[in-house]
Amino acid sequence: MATIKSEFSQFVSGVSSFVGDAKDRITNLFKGIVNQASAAIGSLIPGSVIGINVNKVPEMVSTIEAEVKAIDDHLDQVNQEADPAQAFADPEMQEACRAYISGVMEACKAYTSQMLKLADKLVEVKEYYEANQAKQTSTLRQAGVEASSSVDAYTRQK
Amino acid sequence: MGGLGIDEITIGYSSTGAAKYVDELNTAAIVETESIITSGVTNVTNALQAGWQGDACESYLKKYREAAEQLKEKLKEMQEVFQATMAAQEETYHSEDESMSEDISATNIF
Repeated sequence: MATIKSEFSQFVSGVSSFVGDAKDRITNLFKGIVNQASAAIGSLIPGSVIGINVNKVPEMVSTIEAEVKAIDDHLDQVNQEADPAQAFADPEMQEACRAYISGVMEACKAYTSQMLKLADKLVEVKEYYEANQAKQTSTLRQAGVEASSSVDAYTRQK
Repeated sequence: MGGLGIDEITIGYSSTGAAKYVDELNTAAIVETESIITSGVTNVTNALQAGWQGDACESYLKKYREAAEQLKEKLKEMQEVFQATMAAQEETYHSEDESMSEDISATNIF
């Protein structure tokens, strides 16, 4: 007949073993889902930027940045406040909860990173446009100078 | 998330506290995040449409909205995995606990 002490040890050992497996299983599952999320989101860099009004780029970029910040701030707060030790005494269970929170944060990071790439692309388009516009203006001015210097004033003959 | 009163627990978990924790965590990590993503899609769409006209913009927005939906689906998937794991965990604690209680009851310790 087992003693209370040995039964209790067996219980603790059984639970620890199960929890350890659960933690590894759930961590791997979350990693898999994060990878799937990243692949599903894919690249959010536009293939074409035809039709963009470069004067509106700062507003577009600030909206994108604000939305990325809203997601990041919220998840940072969740991460800080959701201390699993509030609900689980077992460190392995706490780890499983942290793996869940990390998984959510990483999946969202895959999405917000793509949004930030869009913001950078928009800035790049604006800079490219402005640089070319300056170059074109300069070329036109130069062409104007050259044209005027090569014009012979016509003097009416009659 | 406030304290769930498990200060005295050294093994396992408080069933009530754990359920409350899981519920609150799911709300904060999944439901609220999804809501932020959804309103973000609306705001970004409006901002892009205000400064980007034509097929290229619409084509991009389609891809962007799909990405947001995919993300929300994956967050839901994580929530389901987490909840299933927690439910299995609770079941194991209870069956281990019952099994030990039955053995202890059968033991004549007095």
